[in-house]
Amino acid sequence: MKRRFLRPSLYSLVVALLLAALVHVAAVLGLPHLVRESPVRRLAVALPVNAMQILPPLTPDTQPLPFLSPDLRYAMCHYDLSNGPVVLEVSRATPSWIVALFSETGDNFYAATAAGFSKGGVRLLLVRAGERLSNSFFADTRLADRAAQVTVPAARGLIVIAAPIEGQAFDPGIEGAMQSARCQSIGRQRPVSRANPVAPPLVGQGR
Amino acid sequence: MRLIAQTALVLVLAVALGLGSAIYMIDRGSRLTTEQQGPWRSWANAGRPEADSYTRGHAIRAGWLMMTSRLARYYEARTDSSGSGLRTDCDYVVEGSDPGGTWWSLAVFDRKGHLQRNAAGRYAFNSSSVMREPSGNFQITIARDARPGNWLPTGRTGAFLLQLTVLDPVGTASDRAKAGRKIELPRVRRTTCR
Repeated sequence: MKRRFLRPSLYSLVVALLLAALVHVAAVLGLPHLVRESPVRRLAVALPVNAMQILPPLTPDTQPLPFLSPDLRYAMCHYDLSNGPVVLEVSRATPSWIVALFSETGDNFYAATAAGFSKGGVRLLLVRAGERLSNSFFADTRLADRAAQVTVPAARGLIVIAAPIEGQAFDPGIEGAMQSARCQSIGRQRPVSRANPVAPPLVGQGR
Repeated sequence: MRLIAQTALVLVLAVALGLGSAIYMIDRGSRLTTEQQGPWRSWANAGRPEADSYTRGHAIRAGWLMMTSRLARYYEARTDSSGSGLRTDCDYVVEGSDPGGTWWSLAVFDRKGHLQRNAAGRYAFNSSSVMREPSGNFQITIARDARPGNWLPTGRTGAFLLQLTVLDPVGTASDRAKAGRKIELPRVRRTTCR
């Protein structure tokens, strides 16, 4: 009697499946909004703004996030473009180094190896979407000179430099080279007075 | 009364099915979102801005900062090549040739992606640090206690996973991509169990 009482009809099974599909879609689409602590935000709160931080070699005690490869050395910068563009400069990068830019939601919207840059090293100018830089801005700002321009989707995000460790003997050399990395806000730009300069081409776009 | 009971049953079933399938698809993936080669699974669109919601959800739930799969490919093995789960009370040999790309690294993590504490302070081997046979192939022993050759320690208890990271996986600067060759991933062979 009790079994019959709860026996679902075909109609209720179909309704259950349709509702399950709705719950599935809502859960998958809603997850990024429900979980406030994206990996980038977790790292960003521990990093100074617009300054490069070299992470120690990864061990169980120093691992800042799960699944980061311990055979890579990392330097990171929590960038904030609220006060103007940010310049990334890594003058002593070796060709195998990777430069990756992440949005706060964790999208890796730009990535390139240092091999794609000129011998002067990695030079990137991060600007916000819709921001137009004047010629005089480039002329007046030495740091922005010869930098490839990257448009970022939002004012805040994360720069990650990852250097493969070729062997333990090379580790001090990597750390020394990482000291050359700079991440710096270059203040509010002047209003556009002339046509935009042609920025050097991007060497790699992570999409 | 019957209507209320059946409605409750339908709702419970819908939530359980909907949430269960969502968690499964986010944690483990499917053929639509992941690529499987032997025991190795990789999220095809990891890190990309145009990645699907399952891939994004996977990165967020795992707390994983994934670089774009165009530049770095992550392969994860939770089982050996015969399909048995990786356990710290067994020894394994990872053997094969260079999987491709410009650089690779093999690391041991626990199931949540944390490095496992060990007395040797060794957590990974890479294409530069691994000792090779004359043929260029390599063998890495994954075991709790010290072994000769390339020995990668596991933790003391529980299950673990292997992560193979390959940089420049599609060979943007090499001939491999032009030849369209598939990346050859190493085998994971169980040797002994305690």
